Amino acid sequence: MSAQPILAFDAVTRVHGAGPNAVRALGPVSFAVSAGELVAVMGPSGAGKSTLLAIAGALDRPSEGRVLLAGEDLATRTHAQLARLRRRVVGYVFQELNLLPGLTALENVALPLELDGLSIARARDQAQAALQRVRLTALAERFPDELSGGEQQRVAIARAFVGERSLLLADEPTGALDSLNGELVMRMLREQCDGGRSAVLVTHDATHAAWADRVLYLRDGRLGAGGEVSLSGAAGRGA
Amino acid sequence: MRALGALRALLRVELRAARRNARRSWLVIGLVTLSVAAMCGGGALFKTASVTTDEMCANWLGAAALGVRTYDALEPNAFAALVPPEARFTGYTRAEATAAFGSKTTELELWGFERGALNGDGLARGLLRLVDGRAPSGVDECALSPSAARELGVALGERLQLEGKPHTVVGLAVRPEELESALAWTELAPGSGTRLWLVDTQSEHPALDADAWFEAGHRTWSRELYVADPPVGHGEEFSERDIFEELVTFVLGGFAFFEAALVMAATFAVGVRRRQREIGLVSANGATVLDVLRALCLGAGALASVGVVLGTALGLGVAFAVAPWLDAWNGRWNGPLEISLPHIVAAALLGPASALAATLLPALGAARLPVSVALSGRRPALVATRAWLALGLVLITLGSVWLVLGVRADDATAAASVLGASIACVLGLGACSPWILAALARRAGALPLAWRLAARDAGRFGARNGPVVTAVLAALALSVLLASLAGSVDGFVAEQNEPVSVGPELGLVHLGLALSLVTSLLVVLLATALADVESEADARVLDAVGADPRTQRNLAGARAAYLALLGALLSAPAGLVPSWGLVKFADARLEFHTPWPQLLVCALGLPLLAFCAAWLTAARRSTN
Amino acid sequence: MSVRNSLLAMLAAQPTHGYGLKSDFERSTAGAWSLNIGQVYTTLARLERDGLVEPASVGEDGPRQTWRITDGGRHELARWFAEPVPGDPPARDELAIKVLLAVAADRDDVATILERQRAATLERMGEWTRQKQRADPERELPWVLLLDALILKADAELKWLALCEARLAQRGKR
Repeated sequence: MSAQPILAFDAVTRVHGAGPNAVRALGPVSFAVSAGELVAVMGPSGAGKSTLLAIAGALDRPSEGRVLLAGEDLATRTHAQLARLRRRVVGYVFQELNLLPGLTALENVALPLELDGLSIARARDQAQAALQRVRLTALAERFPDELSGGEQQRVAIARAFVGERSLLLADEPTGALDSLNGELVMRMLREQCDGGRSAVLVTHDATHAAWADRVLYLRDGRLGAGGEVSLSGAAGRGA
Repeated sequence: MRALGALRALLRVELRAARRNARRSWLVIGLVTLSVAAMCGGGALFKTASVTTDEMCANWLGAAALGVRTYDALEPNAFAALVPPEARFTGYTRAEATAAFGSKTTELELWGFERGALNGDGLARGLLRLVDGRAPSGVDECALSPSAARELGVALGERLQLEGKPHTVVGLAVRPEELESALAWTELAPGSGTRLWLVDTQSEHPALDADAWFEAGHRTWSRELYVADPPVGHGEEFSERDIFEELVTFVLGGFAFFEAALVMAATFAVGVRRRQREIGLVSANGATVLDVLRALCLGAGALASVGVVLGTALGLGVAFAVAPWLDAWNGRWNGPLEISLPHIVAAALLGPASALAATLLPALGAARLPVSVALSGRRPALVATRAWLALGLVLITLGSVWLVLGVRADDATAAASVLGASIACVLGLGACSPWILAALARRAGALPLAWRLAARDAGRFGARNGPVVTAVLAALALSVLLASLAGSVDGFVAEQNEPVSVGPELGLVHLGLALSLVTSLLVVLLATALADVESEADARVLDAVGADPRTQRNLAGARAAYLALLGALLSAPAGLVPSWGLVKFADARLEFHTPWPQLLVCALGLPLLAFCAAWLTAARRSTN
Repeated sequence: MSVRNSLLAMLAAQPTHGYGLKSDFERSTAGAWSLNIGQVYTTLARLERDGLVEPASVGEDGPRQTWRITDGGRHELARWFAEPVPGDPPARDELAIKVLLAVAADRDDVATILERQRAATLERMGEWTRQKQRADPERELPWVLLLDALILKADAELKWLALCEARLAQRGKR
């Protein structure tokens, strides 16, 4: 195992509103994700899974606790620094509508790199490589409304992992897909994690969670007893 | 450097989005075009119609520097003794006379000029303008004003009697600033004695001579009389600068600019909610708030700039087409179209500025939302609508108080008060519109389906419908103001016992009203079309639910009509407030006039037209 | 499990002897299920009695005997394939029994039982998923299909466990 976890939650809590009307959406929750780990997060609706993911991706701020992303404490980061983290370290995949409709698949994948200041040529090159990893180079010049749901999600995954990004956060990415396409997406994720990247995946489908190294169970915003299940097994990973 | 790359990427997103939503982009450009056209065209027409100092001087002095009315009639030799040797001068006469042709007679002013005094480098050039035929030469020829010719029924080449003496009409001439005044122009017999003289002295300060002339019993008037305030010299032949006209001009002009800016700002505000998801998505991929704002600004600025260019061309083109008719509206010779550069520059700056303001302010809110909320498309709670209502009511109250207090003060304060209060009231009404929409939505239960859906939709999505109502309100407010003023002016004119000419600018009120109504109609159509475009997603849902094309069309029409109606109703107080202020300032001279016919036409006609237009365009869309 | 129909299906492909049938069966089910050779011979005898199979060669005996399917056998086989598998009365399910008894006895540790079972089932699912990752659907289709079946059945079990948890939680609230 590598030394430092790529993502660490330390007693993180998220509360909406204040006073008597306050709603605790999450926490306190503590866990860590190492390099090369694929972690699945399951639980009933409203358990706080999406909130957990949003906080992990610096899309939302915790009310209490610390979040460490690639060793950096997110609370101390300015908006600009958080944006940089989103360009270089962590990628996000939503359940649907991940892609900007006006850009081609290739341009969508290249977006974080261009936002980071890379030249169009270099960004396109890396985007091509990312599309290759999800085996979609043939569709690079298509627009999102010309792609099927499964293809769109694979493009979204390519974008989430483009360049040197090492952590992917996915919120039910296979929710709108049929079983075969869903399995394809999970295979892609698994291959990426076998290659050293990490991913945290919110899902309500156990057959997809089964691809993970660990499964976290959230109920009422917490990991109760038995909240973490390790799937690695003694045989280890890979071939 | 990174910022440039990010900007390039986000601009690409903007450009593609604009192209994909071509209809929306063109509607936005169209509204900017209309606003800019109104400013440029209106400015040019106004400048053309206004009397400049030079034009005023020409009306009373011709090309001369000094005018003199001597105590007694003098012959030229005698007059020459009074002026420096190198001075040029010409004498002329002006008296009431009777003209007769056949059985008709009429009273007119008889002007007599030396031969050549009115052409080329003659000193009186500009006092009268020849509009047809040629100048009279010889004592039995004359030129007549078209008004007198009409009265007598006499045409060029015919002979009539002037003070009993026969003259042949060889031309038609007018006083530039009073097209309708009846006059005849004859040639002065050389050597005749006159009391009126025009002098071109080489002295640099003809006004200094005025005291000496005054001591001798003569009266003088010069350019200074029209330029300086208070007037310098001791003459009687000057036209009183009408403070009221200046106030009206100031308020109308300022109000028009403000309304144009408001229409443009409202246009850009309509699409903000729709951008929220997109902003969330690019933020999730690492765009900073500044990146997003820069790209939004450039995108909006680009659209606005296209609108500015098109609007300038359109405005000047329409002004050019309308210019020949100006003379008929304000009774003076307006000359060729004069382009008003300040108006063009102001419009060119105002367009992008309004666009930026309207895009930036809400986008700031969207960009600062936690990205997760932005992506979910959740909207801020009801609190915002109530806050806007409170702000609106405060503005209206303050504006009203400011108006009532300010009209009693001196001229400059009154002007500022009327304009400022009017702007405050319009802003206040606009701020109240989201709440009004929401409140009406709650009570829409009894309406027929299409209207109920339109009301509910408008109330739920106040962020995109409120600005549409505001744009309609802004455009129509100006028309209401002009209609009210026109009514007051007409009333004033009707009450006078003798024909009175209203000043050149006020005379244009009716023309301005006509033009503003056309512009308002177009604004209403475009703005409601924009609301329709923004609601396209809902149309798809309705399709899925099984709404047939006819229902869809009814809904589109109802939405357009509903928004137009609300805007029209709100525009009534918005336009009447400045009108009340102006009339109060004019004290006893004008009466406040509520233009009921126009208000009814706007309140009924505009929604009807909007309904039909939306109905037709929706029909075209639902078949594909 | 229908051993008769399985043997008929394999013989329909080609005549085979006893041990061949056993190994064919195991290969087809990727080793998940196997047949007792004695069971094979007994079933073959019954099939011959019913006229569904017949010896393919004369003179061989015992293990060397090759069998082939008759027309009657093909007919029977066609009928088996044509009919959907009827739902069996549920086999005794140890997990279900455990949970139902725990609930009936109102034990305090029902939640823990459910959790532990969930963890175990999930681990099994993980193992099968890893196997699936390594398998090639082109060349090992039966194996992949079998893994899918196992994974989805385990998934059903997990869903049932989640539902149990939810219902117990709701009952506790009243």
